[in-house]
Parts: sequence; structure tokens; C-alpha cells
Amino acid sequence: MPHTHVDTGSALGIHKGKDVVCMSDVGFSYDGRPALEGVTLHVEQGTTLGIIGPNGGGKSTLLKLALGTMPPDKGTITIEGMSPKDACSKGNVVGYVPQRHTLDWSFPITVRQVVELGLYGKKGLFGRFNKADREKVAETLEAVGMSKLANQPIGGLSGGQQQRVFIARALVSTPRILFLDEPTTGIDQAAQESFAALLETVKAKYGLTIIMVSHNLRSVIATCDKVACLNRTLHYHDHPVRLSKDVLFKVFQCDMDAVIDPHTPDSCCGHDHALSPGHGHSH
Amino acid sequence: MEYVHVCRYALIAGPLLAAACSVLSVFLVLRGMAMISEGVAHAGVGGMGVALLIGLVLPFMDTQGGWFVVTGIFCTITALVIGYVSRGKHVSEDSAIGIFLVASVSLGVCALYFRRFLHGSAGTPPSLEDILFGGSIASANLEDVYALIALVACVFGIVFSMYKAFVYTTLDEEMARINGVPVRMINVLLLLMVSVAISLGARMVGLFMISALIIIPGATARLMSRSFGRVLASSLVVGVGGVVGSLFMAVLFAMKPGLDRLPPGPIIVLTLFAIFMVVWAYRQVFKVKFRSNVAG
Repeated sequence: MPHTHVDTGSALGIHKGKDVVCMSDVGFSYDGRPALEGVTLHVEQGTTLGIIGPNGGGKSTLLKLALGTMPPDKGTITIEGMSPKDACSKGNVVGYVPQRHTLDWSFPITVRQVVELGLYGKKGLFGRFNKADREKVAETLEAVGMSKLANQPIGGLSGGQQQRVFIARALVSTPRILFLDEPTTGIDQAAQESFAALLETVKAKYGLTIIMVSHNLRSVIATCDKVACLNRTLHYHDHPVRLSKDVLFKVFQCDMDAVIDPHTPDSCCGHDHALSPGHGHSH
Repeated sequence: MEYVHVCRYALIAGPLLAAACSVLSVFLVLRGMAMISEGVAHAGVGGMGVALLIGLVLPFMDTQGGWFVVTGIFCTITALVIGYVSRGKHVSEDSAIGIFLVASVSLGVCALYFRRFLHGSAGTPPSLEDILFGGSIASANLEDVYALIALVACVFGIVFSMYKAFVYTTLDEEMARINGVPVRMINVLLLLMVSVAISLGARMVGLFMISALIIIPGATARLMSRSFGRVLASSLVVGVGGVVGSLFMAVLFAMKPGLDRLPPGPIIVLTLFAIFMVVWAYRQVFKVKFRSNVAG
């Protein structure tokens, strides 16, 4: 299966800056069934990249490989020249916002305590918090608009508030690259718009490179300046408005007319399309 | 008062054991691993049986200290094997616990009878009843107190020096791993501390009862607070307070003729159970809502 090289810096004639995330010919299989094949992707500093694709297309697998939770079967991944595992444990290189369902929201812990845990990578196993750390936590809560709820147990939060807590936890260690996994799943339209605005704000404030995995095309078009389409292999490139119907059909296996026009209600987003020749292992 | 003097070691050892178990209880209950303590405790029966057989071959191991060492090692290995066997999709953790639990108890019972067959009652090994339900309250000694002081120092020292790592692993193991927390080490340390606590506490409380000290305080505390620090504090209050109260009741019972052999283990468990039910009922009846800030 041919693979597509994705170069996020080339399309609009922009001077190519430093690549902070580099994936070369990455492949991965679960029990012999390929989930990713020949994925090559270079993400330039300062980009907001959306990775879209159907469920089971390998998006979460790609994230897990980028975060170093498992090594690729084939190919290489580097983050600022380091292995993903080293980059993540350093504490101030990579921030990660996982899907909200990964946490037990009835756990007895406050918003502030969850955000503090994001400093673990910087402080280490026996590290203790000092005044500067507490101020950093307070500043980050302010940046995401959660200061007033800092001492609130996480159990009473809305979906949008939970998302902000996760973002704060990821940002508190001042990372340079932020990965987000399906950040708009399960939150209403107003919260999605609020999330898009928040992402713009924190990107400017922290100078972030953002990589967002989502099956929500509308959200990706609203927030990302570059997009890649993944369905086991990378089919795509470039600016979301330039996504052709052919590419989207190939990736999602359905007619995406409604999605390309952002003013039309999005009837395809989030549907679990039956997959096809490009289908990867369900992840 | 004279009888209180006779039971003085139990009145010190009990709260020490409760303090260590109450801290461990919070982490196990919040991770949904409470039943692993049941599996480890029952493994202790097998461990005790193996210890008694080893004691026949190596007389210097046929002491309270030797039995504790062998039982502790057996419990730890069993816990690790349960984790290994259940890591795939084909054997669930609760099945693995159930399998090893009954196998260990059976091993222990058979080993105890073999020991009697081979060596009679020489060496005064504990009876099966003492192993399962604990000895009488007067049987606790100074060695128990020293061992439990060391246990409390280790548990508090390890947990509070790596507090953030323990909390992060308990809250979100995958994120903790991504952020560089040595999750495997934390899990092994937790299992090791639970195994040692069970092995040491079994003499006083009994292997069939000790898991209550590792489940009930944390489960009760979770109903009482929604801040992690307060859950830990509540668990300590419930565990230590429950054990102190029940030990005094055990002393009173033990002063009655005919009840002097009543082990304190079941009294401790029933007291903790009663505390849990009262807290749970209070929450249900009054539908307690915890104080929270106004949403912004």
C-alpha cells in the first residue's frame, strides 16, 4: 500500500521552520492485523494539526506511539529529536490531553490537585512543591478559566469543565507540544466553541505546537490550520478548506458534502462508518 | 485492670496494624483492587502451611519470625502470579483471585495436617483456628509490637515520600506512566506492603479476617469525603478508632469465663462493618451533599 508523505510546512508557500514531531514510515499491528502502515508525518513548530479519520482508523494508535506507550513495529518517531518516551518523561516537552472517559470522575480529588499532578514529570519521584509551583498551578487554572473551581471536587464538573481540567493538567508543566485525543467528544456545541477559543488563547500564550486527533470534522476545521486524514495510511494533507471530496470519501467511505461547507449542519461527524479496504484494527 | 495489663501488647499492636492497613486501604479501594487483599490473605494460609513444613526441615525457621518471613514471601509471590495470570484477556482478575485463594487455603490445610502426621504437635505450631481467626487477645507479644512499629514506619515512609506518584497511579495509571511515574515499581511496592501487613497482622486478627482491615476503612472513608487528603485522614480515624474500640470490647469479653479464648479478629471486623453501615446509612438517609464552591 503506497504511503503519502505529509509535509505540513509546504502548502501555502510558508517558510519551513523546525520540525518538532517526525514520523517516518511508521507501521503497527495488533496480533498481526495492521493498524498503521507507512505513516510519514512531519509537524512544523507552531502548527495546529488535526488528524481526522473514522473510528478504527488508527488515530489513537498513532497517539499512543507518539506518546511512547508502545514502540512502533516499523519506522521511527522523534519528538524534538528525542524518543517519545524521553520527551514525555522530561515534563516540559509534551503535554497530553486524553479522552475524558479515561478518568474516574468520582475519584475524591479536587481540580487543583489534578492539575498539580501535571508537574510530576518536572518534580520527579521525591519532588516536593514549592511556592513557584503553586503559583504556576494557579496561573494555569486562570488561563483555562477554572480558578473559581480550583477547590471543587472533580465529581461535580460539566463535560466542558472536565476538558479544561485536563488541558490545565497538560499545560501546567509548560510543554512545547500538546497532543489532544478526541477533545470535543461528548461536549455540547457551546462548549465546543468555547474549547476552540481556549485552544487559540493557550496556543498564543504558550507558543504551542498542537496535534489534535478527532473524528469531528467541524471541530477540526474550526480549530486547525493543517489537517491529515488517517485510515490506516495517511491519505491527506494541508489546509482543511482544501480537503477534496475524493480524499474525504476515501478516508471516511461516505459522502462528505455537508461537512465541507461549514455553514451546513454536519450530519456525518461522529458516525461510526463501516470500514473498508483501508480499515485498521479497532483500537 | 490486671487483664488490661495482660493484653497490653495487643492494645498497642492493634492500632499500629490499623494505621498501616488504613493507609493501604485507600489506595486499594480507589483502584478497585480491594479483593486482591482477600486473595493475598488466603494465600497466607498456604504460606503458613509451607512455613510449618519448612520449619520441620530447618528448625531455626520454626519460630514466629520464620513463619512470618515464609508467609510474607508466599503472599507476595502469589499476588504477583495472580497479576501475571490475569494480565491477558482469557483469565479475569477475579477468576485468578478465586482460583489462587482456594488453592492456597487447601495447600495450607493439607500442609498443617501433614506436619501433625510427621511430627505430632512438637514445636507448638499454631492451630488451624488460630491461623484463620487469630489467637486470643493475650497472645500478642512484644515481638509483634516491634514488627508493627517497623511496618508503620515503612508504609508511612514509602507512601508519603512518594505521595504524588502513589496518588497519580491510583487516579490515572496510564497518564501517570506517560508522565514518567514508575508505575510498575509503585504497584509492586503496594503489593509488597499489603503482603507484609497481612502476614504480620494475621497473628492477631487471623487470615480470614485481616482483609477487612484493608477494605473497610478505605471504603468507609470514600463515603465521608471528596478530597484525597481527607479520605486518607478519615480512613485512619475509622481504622484506628474501630480497632481501639473493638479491642477494649475484646478485653471485656475475655474477662468473662468461657469467652477468654474468643479471638479479637471477628470483633474487630464486626465493629468496622458496623461503622461502615452507619456511615453508608447516614449518607442514604440524609442524602449528604459535600460542600463545594459556587460554579464559575
